[in-house]
Amino acid sequence: EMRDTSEEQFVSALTLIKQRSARETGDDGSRGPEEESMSYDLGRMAAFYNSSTDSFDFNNHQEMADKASITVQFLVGRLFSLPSQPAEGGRTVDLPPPTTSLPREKPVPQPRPLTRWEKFAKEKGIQKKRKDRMVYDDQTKEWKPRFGYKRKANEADDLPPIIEAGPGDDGSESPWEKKEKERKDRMDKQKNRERRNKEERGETAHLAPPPDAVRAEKKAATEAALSLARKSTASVGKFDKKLRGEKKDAIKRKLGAEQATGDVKHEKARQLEVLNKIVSLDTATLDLDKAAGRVSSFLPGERDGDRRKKGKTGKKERGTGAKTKARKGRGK
Amino acid sequence: VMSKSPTQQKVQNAPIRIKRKPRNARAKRVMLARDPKVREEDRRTLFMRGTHTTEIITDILKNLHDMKKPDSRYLPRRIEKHPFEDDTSIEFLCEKNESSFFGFGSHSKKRPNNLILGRTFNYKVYDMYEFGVSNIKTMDDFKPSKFPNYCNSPCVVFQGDGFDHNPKLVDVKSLFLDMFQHAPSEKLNLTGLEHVVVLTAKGEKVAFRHYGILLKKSGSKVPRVVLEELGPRFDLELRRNRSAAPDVAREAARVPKQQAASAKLGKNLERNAMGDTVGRVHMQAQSLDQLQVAPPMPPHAARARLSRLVLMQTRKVKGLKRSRDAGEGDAAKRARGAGDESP
Repeated sequence: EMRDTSEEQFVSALTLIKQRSARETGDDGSRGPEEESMSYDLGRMAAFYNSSTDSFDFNNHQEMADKASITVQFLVGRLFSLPSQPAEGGRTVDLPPPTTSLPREKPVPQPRPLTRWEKFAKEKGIQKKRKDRMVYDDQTKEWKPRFGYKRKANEADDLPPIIEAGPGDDGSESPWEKKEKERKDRMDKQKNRERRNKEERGETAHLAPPPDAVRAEKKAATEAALSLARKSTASVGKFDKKLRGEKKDAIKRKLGAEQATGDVKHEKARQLEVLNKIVSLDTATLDLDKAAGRVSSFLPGERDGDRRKKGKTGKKERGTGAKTKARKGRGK
Repeated sequence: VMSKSPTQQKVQNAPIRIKRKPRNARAKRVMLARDPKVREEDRRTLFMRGTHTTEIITDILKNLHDMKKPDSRYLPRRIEKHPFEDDTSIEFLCEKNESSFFGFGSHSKKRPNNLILGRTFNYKVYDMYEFGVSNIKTMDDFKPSKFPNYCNSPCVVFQGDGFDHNPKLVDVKSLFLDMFQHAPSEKLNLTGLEHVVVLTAKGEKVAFRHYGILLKKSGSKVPRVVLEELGPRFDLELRRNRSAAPDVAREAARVPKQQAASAKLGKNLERNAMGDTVGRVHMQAQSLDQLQVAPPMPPHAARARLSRLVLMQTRKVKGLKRSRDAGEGDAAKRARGAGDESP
């Protein structure tokens, strides 16, 4: 950017940097990074200095800070030159959209397919009308709630306790029952519509296998669903009577079958296994040197020089006789 | 949402995730919050330790956790499985904690002071990078005069052409740009420029430095920058890495149509300063000499037509007296008698 140098109030950041650098280091700042090597993603408040960093010494922290401050100065300069509005504490700038793309966390959401009604409404241009809570009652000349306490009386909904029979009514049909039946029919139809919508959306049952499942997978899914349903009782299947030929699922136990039974042989082997891990009996050796040292430490009058010394290579076992073997529990 | 029912174990097709129907409103809110969104807001980080760690690497993890609060969680429990050997643990924990960034610190003879930083996409590891950490100084050892405000997003600066030329460092750059900042916003209050993370690449090593920005008065509109180290300070040496598989990378890079559409209205449409949506109608070239024009109406017909139009307009205005012109006569009566439909 070319600036008119006669306007002294406007000094570019680069000039400042060069001046400061020249002042501090005594050179013309040619060692410092040039603005041409800089690129930015202001939308992410990021700056990239794309030049060689061979001269950077990671252990010279003051120098690292100085070099970083030059790059940050460039970034701050760019951010401050964005279009801005006054805000509390200073100014707010409008950041441009980010230029570097970063991967998303989750896939792009699929727009939900429209239901039959939504398609129809879109086609006809029907807008959803938001109903107000209060409705004007012409009879009482008041604003009343549409539903709930002190609601506006609706002749169609609230049938009086006595209804005069019309010309065609012969008393076989009760108007209250009729109304109740109509209401139930409406609700059933709505439920069917909702279920149909769900199917059309492709939402299957909770435990259903996917549509492209293999026969074996479908069978497995059915068995899994059956076992889940079988124990879906108040006591989770614990006290249910079995049907003829039905196998109940295995009760969950805390210990495995092995651990629960009293198998002496195996128990011994297992305990020894554990012991071996702590103190390896099979490879245990007696270091006479150490042993002697330990003994001498509580024998009176023994001095270091008097101790019998054996070479380090002499790892000798005390005994290999039957008694020792028995004591160490070898053989099992 | 991963189901733990015996169905999952029995049915062979494991990758299918069964969506549990929420049984109450609170569960439904949580489920909706976890659904994919068009515009993703702040992503959470999960910091974990392996079976063996050193005090230093634990401190680094804790410092990074502090930097990323409140969108960060530090797990007190140690994780047995090493991410590069078995990533099921990481994936499970990141899903349960709803985090898409993770940091894993460990120490072994073969890999001392090991730090793994990575991201997930759709609850599966997207990419991860293993670093050896050295030259460490934690945040406690620095005594800056000013701390950045809680939840303030730092600027990020990358120094070194290695970030452009070395393909591994290019990915590392993407990770760091993603990890240390909040979701990008459209406005920035300039007093909020409080701290900056500076990453310098030299060879295969990357220096991580965290400075507070002090803005001093300068001669111009742009203040003078003075940096004050906040810590942590450490150098990273890239060990192993696992980059994103190309098909996953492509899916993760997709921009939703809604986001692209909100930027521009669509072809041919503009919003003018008044807020009106304006479009252009492009006509073919017309030769005005050859225009087919209807023969001019006889004057009485023209007047009748005009008065019909005027009458229809005035009829709409309530209480407006209709002026009866001598010339209107029959045409007016006819118009009135025709009905009250709009023209």
